[in-house]
Amino acid sequence: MMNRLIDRLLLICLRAYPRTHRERDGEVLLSLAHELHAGGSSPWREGAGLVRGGVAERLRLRCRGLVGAPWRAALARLALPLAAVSLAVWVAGVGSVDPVPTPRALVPLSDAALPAVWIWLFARFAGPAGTEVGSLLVAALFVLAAFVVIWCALRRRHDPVGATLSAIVLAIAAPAGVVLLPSLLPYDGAWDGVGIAALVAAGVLAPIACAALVGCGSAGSTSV
Amino acid sequence: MAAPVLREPTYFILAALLDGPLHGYAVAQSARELSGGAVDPTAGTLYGALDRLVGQGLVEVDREEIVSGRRRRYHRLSDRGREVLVDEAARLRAAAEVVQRRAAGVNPSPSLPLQRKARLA
Repeated sequence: MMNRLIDRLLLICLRAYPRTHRERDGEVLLSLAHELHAGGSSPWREGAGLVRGGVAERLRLRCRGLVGAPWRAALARLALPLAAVSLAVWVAGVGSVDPVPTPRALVPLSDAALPAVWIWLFARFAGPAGTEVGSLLVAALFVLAAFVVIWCALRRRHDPVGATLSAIVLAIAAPAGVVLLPSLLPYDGAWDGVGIAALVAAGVLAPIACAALVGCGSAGSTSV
Repeated sequence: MAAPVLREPTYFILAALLDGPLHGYAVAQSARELSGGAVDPTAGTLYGALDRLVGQGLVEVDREEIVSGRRRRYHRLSDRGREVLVDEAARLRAAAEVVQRRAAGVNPSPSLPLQRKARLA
């Protein structure tokens, strides 16, 4: 009875491993766990070891997929659409900001759109290495923009909650979307459409949030 | 190809295989004895370590056998695995000597072979 329970426990824990590993090595692994248990190791310890090993193996496989994903090609394909959208948002958003020589003059930067246009265009035509550099620069600009937004919003006390939320979108969603998302998706051709749509959404979300915030800040400052 | 850094469990697993091809349970037992009980791998840990070592070319699968209804896989040390293990042992010995000399009040040699990665790269 006890042995059957232990068998069952180890079998359940073995399921933490990916199917390919279970089919290839499951029998050897279970035999080893049983032998170690017979040699004095606790079944709970062996079970936990199987779960930990299985999870580690899944993570290792996942990371290998991330490294091998053709995310550079995806970025290169996304460059022009994102640049066009960014430019449009920048043109729409810049009108709502007074061009005064105060820190607010930095606010258009928070769109990160105009530099992004040039960087993305450069990246589009500069090949994989340029795409990589361009992506990092865009990500850096988004992070910088987030700090500018936070600084401006908190200093002028304009909707700090909204500003913080927008900044979080800028600081996390945009770089993650632009730089990391292609590598997170299992790119095998069939996912190209979904990946690009997700990237465009992430790329559009940040400038729009920022443009909205700039609009709020500008309206608020004129009423003071 | 640079030599991989050996952690303590990996070091003793490789050391266990110096005796020749062993199955998983024997590797675990030997590693435990050689390390004085410091390394006591579970099946999951041992499988992961051996799988990784096979991937790095330090260990090779020797054969499989079925004993008392249980499937056993035997592993053996590759030439590269032996080289890396011996080199790591030399590095550890040199590192120990540094401490022993300093503890004994003797000036340490400035050119101890501690830069293993640089030498093997």
